Amino acid sequence: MTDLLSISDLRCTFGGLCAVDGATFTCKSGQITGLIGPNGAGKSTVLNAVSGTVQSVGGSIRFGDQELRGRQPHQVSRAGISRTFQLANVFGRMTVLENLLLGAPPGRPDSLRGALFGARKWKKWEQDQVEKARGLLARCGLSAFEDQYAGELSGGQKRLVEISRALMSDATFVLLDEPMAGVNPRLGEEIALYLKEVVADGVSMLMVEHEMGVVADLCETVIVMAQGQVIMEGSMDDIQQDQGVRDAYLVG
Amino acid sequence: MQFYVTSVLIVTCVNVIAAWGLDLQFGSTGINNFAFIIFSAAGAYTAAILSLGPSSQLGGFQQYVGGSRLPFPLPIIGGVIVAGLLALVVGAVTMRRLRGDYEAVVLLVLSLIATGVALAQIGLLNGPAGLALIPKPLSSTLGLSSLGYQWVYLAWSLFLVLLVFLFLRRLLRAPFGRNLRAARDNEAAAAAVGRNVFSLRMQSFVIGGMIAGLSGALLVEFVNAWAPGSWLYPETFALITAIIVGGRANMAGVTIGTILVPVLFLEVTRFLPAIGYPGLIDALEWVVIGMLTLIFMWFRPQGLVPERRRRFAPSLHLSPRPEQSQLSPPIDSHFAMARPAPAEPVSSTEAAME
Amino acid sequence: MSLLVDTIVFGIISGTLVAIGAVGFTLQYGVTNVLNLAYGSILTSAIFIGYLLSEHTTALWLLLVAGALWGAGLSYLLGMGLIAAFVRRGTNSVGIAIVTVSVGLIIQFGLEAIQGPGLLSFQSVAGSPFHIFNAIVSTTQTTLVGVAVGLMILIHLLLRHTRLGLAMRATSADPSLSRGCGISTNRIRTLSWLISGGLCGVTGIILGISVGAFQATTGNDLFILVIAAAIVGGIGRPYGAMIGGLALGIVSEATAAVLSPALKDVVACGVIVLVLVARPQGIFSDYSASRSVAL
Repeated sequence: MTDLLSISDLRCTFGGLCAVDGATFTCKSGQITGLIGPNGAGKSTVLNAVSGTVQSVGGSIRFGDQELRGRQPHQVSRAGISRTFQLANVFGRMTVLENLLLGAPPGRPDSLRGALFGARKWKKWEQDQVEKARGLLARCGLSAFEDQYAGELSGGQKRLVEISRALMSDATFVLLDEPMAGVNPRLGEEIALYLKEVVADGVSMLMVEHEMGVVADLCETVIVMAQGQVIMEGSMDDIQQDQGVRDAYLVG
Repeated sequence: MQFYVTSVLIVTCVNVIAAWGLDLQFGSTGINNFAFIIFSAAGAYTAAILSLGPSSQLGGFQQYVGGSRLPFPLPIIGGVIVAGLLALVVGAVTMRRLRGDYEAVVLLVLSLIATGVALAQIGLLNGPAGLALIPKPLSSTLGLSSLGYQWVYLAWSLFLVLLVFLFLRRLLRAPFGRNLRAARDNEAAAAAVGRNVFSLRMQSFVIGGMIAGLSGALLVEFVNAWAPGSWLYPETFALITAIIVGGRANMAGVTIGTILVPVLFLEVTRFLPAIGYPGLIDALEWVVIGMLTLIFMWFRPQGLVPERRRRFAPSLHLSPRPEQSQLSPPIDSHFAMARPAPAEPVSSTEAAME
Repeated sequence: MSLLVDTIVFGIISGTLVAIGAVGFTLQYGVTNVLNLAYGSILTSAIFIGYLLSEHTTALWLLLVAGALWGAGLSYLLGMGLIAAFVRRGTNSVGIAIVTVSVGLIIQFGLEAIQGPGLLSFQSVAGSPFHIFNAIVSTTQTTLVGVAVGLMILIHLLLRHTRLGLAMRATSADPSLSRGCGISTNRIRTLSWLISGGLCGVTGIILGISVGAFQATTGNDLFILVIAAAIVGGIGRPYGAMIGGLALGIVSEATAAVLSPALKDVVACGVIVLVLVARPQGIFSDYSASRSVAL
């Protein structure tokens, strides 16, 4: 296992408020790293900073040998990092299959030039993507919903669509922002199984989550944040026994 | 009679081309271009100036910049290019992340500014009087009767319609079209999946602008005169109404809407007896267009031909496609706010999971 | 020297007109989050009402009040009636913008259909001319400026020193929070439509008297400058609108004096474009125009 994503001394401010104040941790490859902490600890902000949605003001975000700090979201995505959102961010007025097709990394086939001059190429490319998408849909059990508008699906189904979409891009790293939020427990189990399968295939993840059961089940390493800083990094067992962590939750 | 019919058809072609251009921006990409007509005007003015010759030549009664007597089809090409350049400049300023209606207002203000500039008597484009005596392309070379010329011009217009149709269809069917719709539907998600939303909107804006320029140039070479009165801000709304009535983001719907609204309206009223004072019918037309928009926005915002769902052919080697769940009716358009997620349908989900 | 005086005097005269119109427009946007693109047409309709009334009376105060009442009533119907219905239905902000444009077109061209060709003008409410240095102004013009300034002061007092004003500012900043604090947003919205409509109507009367001859497009001609002033000053900010209006007025007059009258509109528009390029949310705004239409 290698160090895949390294955050060093990350700092993010909003107006006068310092949401992340010197956070440092590392995510190893081949596993799901959990990121937990009381409300307002800065967890989502860290995720947003990595994905480029929010601009950080200091520190470093290293992914492999690239520095991600300062990049735009679409650039981060092209570097190999996908994300999901707290509120399932699907393209509600497009079909589930189209949603997945949009997960494919952008390139020549879906550019303007490709559209005008490369008809044969994009037709082949699209067919390949459709196959891949159908495969992923079959894996998470949504094949029957292929032509359904994504906005019509339930919260948990949208979540599965989002995760599948994140996988279409051959991303090596996925940021999950509270994947279990608003999902009924039965479907949550399906999602957890799906995530495990995906990790087994070689994708690593960083997951912000409040459901401790899920974190314990899925994450080998857990990072605890409070008030903008990392206060502990370790296995779930270690963390649950740590007094500092308990205090943080009571205070935060 | 033939003269009249050919004129109507030519004007229809002009409007259909323009409407398709606006639909690319508005319907497919979600750009609220309330200033569309100025790109048409840019194309028209450019084509006019490039075929009129220098302003001093005709005794200087028209004051305008530039001028050359270029042969067909250079003026039209010039029109398209200039309109595209204008779109490039305007787009660079306005295609940033502005909220939908604010973007619309900003573009509207620019449209009004453009009219103001064109009206100013400063020898730019001959002010309120506009440009006249614009030569008909190839009229001397062909040497036809005026009716004969009409037919030729109609053929030329239909040819351009076909060209634009094939071009846009190719564009929109490709994955590129899907990227545009994604940028329209959910900017944040589009960026998260690696699409450069600003770049997509710029591309759509410029291409749409060029198509607008083409329609303007085509019209001006037919009517041979062009003044600010031809391109006031309500003209953009006639096209928007056409798109709303016909159905956005699909070329068939937009064509139907364009035939119904600008064309049918305009021409039907020509047959009505001249009631009241000249100009009364025109004013009432606009009142009806306004009401038509309101009626459709209330009862049928997706238009007569709603945007269709995109489906893909079943895969050859996978097992036959599983039974599709009951498909919901087309989601309403552009104009609906995102609906909150429905409650978890636990039973059906479980069934799907089996 | 006299050029400067001319510029300032006429700049103030036209600037206050634009300013008061812009305050009405922007105040209502601030509270309800709706860009009322029918504002210019409502303005024009107020001119027509004033015209009809001026055949029976030339009392300036009566005309202004009538205009205000008409503007308030019409805006109320539009805002709390039609627009509210569309918002309840779930129409988004662009849809609402299109709705307001359509209403504007209906009113404008409806008026044109009724009026016929040509221009109309008010029975002259001309006052006696007097001099400010070398600039010739009439007492009517100064009265109208006084009315505009007086209204701006009233708005300022309303916003800063009354509970209603506080409620309006709160709703403007954060509608759901205000609701949570017990402010009846529905009542505030109604009042904002009425107030902005009233200002719109008054602006119309002042405009009608100032230009002498008018037609169905007159209101929309002013509306360009009104929106521009509102945008430049920061959409939703009344004080920004006041400053924006005055600035535009003075800039146009300066252009007319220094360069050429023909360039008046052009340069003013150039200023607007510059602001849009550099800072589209307006000079005094501290956030971008990125909220959704509140219900």
